[in-house]
Amino acid sequence: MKSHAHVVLALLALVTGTFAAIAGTAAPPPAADEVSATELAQWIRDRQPGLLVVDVRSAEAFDRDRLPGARLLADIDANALRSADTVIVYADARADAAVLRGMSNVPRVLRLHGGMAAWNEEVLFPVLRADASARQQRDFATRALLSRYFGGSPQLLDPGASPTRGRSRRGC
Amino acid sequence: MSAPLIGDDSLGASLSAAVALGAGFGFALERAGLGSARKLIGQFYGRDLAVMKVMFSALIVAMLGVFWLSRFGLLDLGAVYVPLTYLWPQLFGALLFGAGLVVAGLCPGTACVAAATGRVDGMFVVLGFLAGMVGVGLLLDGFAVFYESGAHGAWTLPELTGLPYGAVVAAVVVLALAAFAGAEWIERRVR
Repeated sequence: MKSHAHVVLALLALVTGTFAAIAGTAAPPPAADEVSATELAQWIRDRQPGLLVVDVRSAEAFDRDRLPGARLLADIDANALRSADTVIVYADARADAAVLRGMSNVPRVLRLHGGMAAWNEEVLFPVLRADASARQQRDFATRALLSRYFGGSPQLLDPGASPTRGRSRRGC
Repeated sequence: MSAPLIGDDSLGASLSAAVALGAGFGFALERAGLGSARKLIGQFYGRDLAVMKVMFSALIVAMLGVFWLSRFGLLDLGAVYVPLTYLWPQLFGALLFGAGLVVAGLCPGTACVAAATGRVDGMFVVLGFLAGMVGVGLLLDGFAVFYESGAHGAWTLPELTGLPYGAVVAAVVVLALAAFAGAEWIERRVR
């Protein structure tokens, strides 16, 4: 009985571990009606035809910072929506589903996964550790190019430069 | 809603959660029989590798739980504290910790469990490590350079290896299962 339980637990760990390897990252993937910040950045850079980026935040937030080419929701008329093939809506974090329902006549409406925060973290200010491997540095070069294209600045993190030592929460 | 459910600004709630989790941890250690120095020291003779099995089990349960909770959007990994890496002092500390474990037969967690269940050896180990903590605090300025050496910040295995997080999780699971099988084999050979 005990050894059967051990085998079941071992198999459970092996299966969930294998699926973890297949999943790759622990970050939740974009939903079916979402687009990642990096993918959107590539669409904007490549000037994808029929793309309309809509900011559903307040006018103050829009004036402070916005995605390149984005338009405020209040400034968009029916003609602009009709001529768009793909509408991307974004907010600070996750755009309200009610906004999407108001655009039912557009062929494709997508939300920006992670909102403005994801745009800043993934596109404008990607971070590379100073002790990164050569492969990690090569992978980062592509993201750095995209960041500079949009006026961002890739960040180099020196992990040893922390002025104070953090608390340890290890136990035994 | 996603975890962590308690923010940094809520000290009372954080401490309450710490006490509850600590009690649960102690209970699990006691139920696994790890309040006994004889059982702990058995792993160095190959007689009883329960400590390694319990700790590795806890590790892979936590690791798989954190990975999948984050994957399903129930845990914000960015809000989870990752202890900072200071390579040289932590290597030295690990060696010292191991030596202390061999000498005392108990580590800090199991010493607290042993003391709480009335074992005198546990009480002396608790007194010993509390005295050690005070001593290190008093003498820290003398070896501050060593204490801060080999800093790598919040350094994780995916960052070190350049492998995807999920691949590292799978590798650790395989390593743990191999270690369990190896431990069983060693125990059978020694007995």
